[in-house]
Amino acid sequence: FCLSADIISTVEFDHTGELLATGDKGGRVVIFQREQESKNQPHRRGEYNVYSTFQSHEPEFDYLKSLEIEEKINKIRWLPQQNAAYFLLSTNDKTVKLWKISERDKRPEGYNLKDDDGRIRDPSTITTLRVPVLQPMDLMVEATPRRVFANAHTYHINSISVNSDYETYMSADDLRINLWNLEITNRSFNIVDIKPANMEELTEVITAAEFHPSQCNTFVYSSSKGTIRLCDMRALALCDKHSKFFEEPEDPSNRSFFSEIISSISDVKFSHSGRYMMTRDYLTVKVWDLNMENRPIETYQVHDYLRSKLCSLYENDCIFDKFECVWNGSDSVIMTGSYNNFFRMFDRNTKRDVTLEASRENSKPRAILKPRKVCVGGKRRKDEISVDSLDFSKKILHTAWHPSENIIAVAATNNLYIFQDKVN
Amino acid sequence: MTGKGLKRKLPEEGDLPEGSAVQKGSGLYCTQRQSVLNISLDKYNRGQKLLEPSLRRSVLIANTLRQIQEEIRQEVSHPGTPQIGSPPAAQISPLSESNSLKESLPAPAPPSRLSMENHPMGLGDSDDWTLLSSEEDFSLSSAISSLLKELDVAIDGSPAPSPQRTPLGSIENLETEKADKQEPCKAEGKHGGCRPSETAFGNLEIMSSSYLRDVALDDLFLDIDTSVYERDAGPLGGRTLSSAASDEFLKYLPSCHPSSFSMNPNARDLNELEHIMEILVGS
Repeated sequence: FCLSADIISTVEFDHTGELLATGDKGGRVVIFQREQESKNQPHRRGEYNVYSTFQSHEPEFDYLKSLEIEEKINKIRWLPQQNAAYFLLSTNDKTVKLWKISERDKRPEGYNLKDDDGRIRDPSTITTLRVPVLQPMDLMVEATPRRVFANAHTYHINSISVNSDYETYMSADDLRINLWNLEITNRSFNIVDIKPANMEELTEVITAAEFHPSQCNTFVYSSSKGTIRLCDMRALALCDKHSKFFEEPEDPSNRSFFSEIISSISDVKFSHSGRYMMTRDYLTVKVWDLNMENRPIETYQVHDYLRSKLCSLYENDCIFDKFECVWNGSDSVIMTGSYNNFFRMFDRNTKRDVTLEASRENSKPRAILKPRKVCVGGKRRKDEISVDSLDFSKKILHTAWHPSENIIAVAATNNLYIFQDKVN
Repeated sequence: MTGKGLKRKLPEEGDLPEGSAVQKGSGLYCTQRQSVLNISLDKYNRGQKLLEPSLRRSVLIANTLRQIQEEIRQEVSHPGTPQIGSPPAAQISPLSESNSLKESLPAPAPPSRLSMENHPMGLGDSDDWTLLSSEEDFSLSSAISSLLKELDVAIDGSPAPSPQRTPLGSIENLETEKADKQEPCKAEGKHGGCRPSETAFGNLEIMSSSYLRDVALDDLFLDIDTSVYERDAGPLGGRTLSSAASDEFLKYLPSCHPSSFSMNPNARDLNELEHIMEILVGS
């Protein structure tokens, strides 16, 4: 039994990997913190425990349009840590919020005019001056909303991305991208607008957007037609003209009624190095060299056995699922999700790939994940699963990879799985 | 990679082999295409009934619909190509050449033509077409889409077509019959002598008139027109307000209104109506 509010809708490690944030359909954010390694319990090397839970977004009602605005968290992005507190951006369809998560492990005690419960002391009992002293207390983690960036998006926000200048960030919806200053909530700059003058002419929407990891003037956005545009904010205030346009020519032998739908890009991510970017469409993951626009340098088949099932997947809407993709810390391995709680990893150097499953039945703590295989036709071997037995309701859309270690977080509907590379 | 080596099999319910594995123009391809068209129309309408339809999903479905409609349209205007089938090209191409047809229409104006002109959707030239408001745009698109839907009904009702026929194959069937009754055109090509074109136009006019006598064209158009005004009560059902974003988009995209389905499901009439609609649209 699964409460729909518990369905995890986004997963993100912070820049150190010490914290892992998840957002869910109910508008909650849960942050996990990695346990410090302790000599006493060496086998509990760096497990993640709940650190903070808070309600980020509430359902809202747009009275003008008579519409409910979902509280589902679409994306979380961490800001790099600059002081003792942690900051993250979380967004639903319409509003981005900046949250400050801070620890409190000391409490002032010994106020002069009030006692520790907060009651005002009887003035006649005050005979000496006393200054409050900070006393240790049980650790308390507080989350406070520091900024609310609202009313800038007519359409549904699908992406947020923090700029490498750490001063600005962008939010992208179906047709527009806005640039914000983290300090200023009542104003944003529109930097991309693909809304046609006549909505009848609309044939393409923005599906994802991201800032370059080191060039603060550069960002990319992907479209439902399988194209990626790289824009330079120095060139124009309104980046409707792109600097680079990435599109792979269609393979005529693969043409079908669903060619466009499966070419729609669901996620785009720069490599950590900033030299490459990766895109996810329905059946493949593609790695692009930023200097080569006419085709990707690598293409990985995630679940090509679905190519003959596209009509069924169109009927049951699965063809519209938006899978995310991630790089590992060294950009040598890429990972993305699939159906039946499977997720796939591709090693770019060895060209080897593996299919793993995130499920309770198959994962005991510290058990090693066994590679899975989908059997396409003919005889099914013992451990294989046939295409027709795949459970399409169990989809892994959101995954995250620790920035430097081989630790991955996989969201399977309402469950979060954290897998670590077993050393020794 | 699946594709060329796949053995073709009859499409099972909801599980069609990929389109590229099937030769374009074959009956199987057309069945697949019809199926995808139906699913798309249904999906699109259901999606619009939601309080907040996903724009990405709507756009993708609409593009698929357009792609299929465009394909069908192209097959109708160029039936001489392998997609359609075997009848003599000379008889077909003058008939379906939109330009020549446009020239012929204003000349002798059958009563139907007048009623078309009086109706807001009746168009003489392409200039009028561009002046259409989005509402009328919508009604034409909805007409086309509802016609395509009706074709499906007609196809289902009629005996199984031979593999070479497309859903619109009965036009050429009809042409051949009529031509035989008149003076058979020699296959000189469309410019070979004035006889073939005249005969073909004669065919068209005769057919049009008879068709229009058979069916009350005004009523047909009234039906479609009504669907525009009744939009809010139709597929949008119980929605009081709709989001501005999808509303603008919705105006353009086809929706199937139940009232337009009450047309005479006769395949022949529908094919001709479709044909006439094509001309009006200026395909």
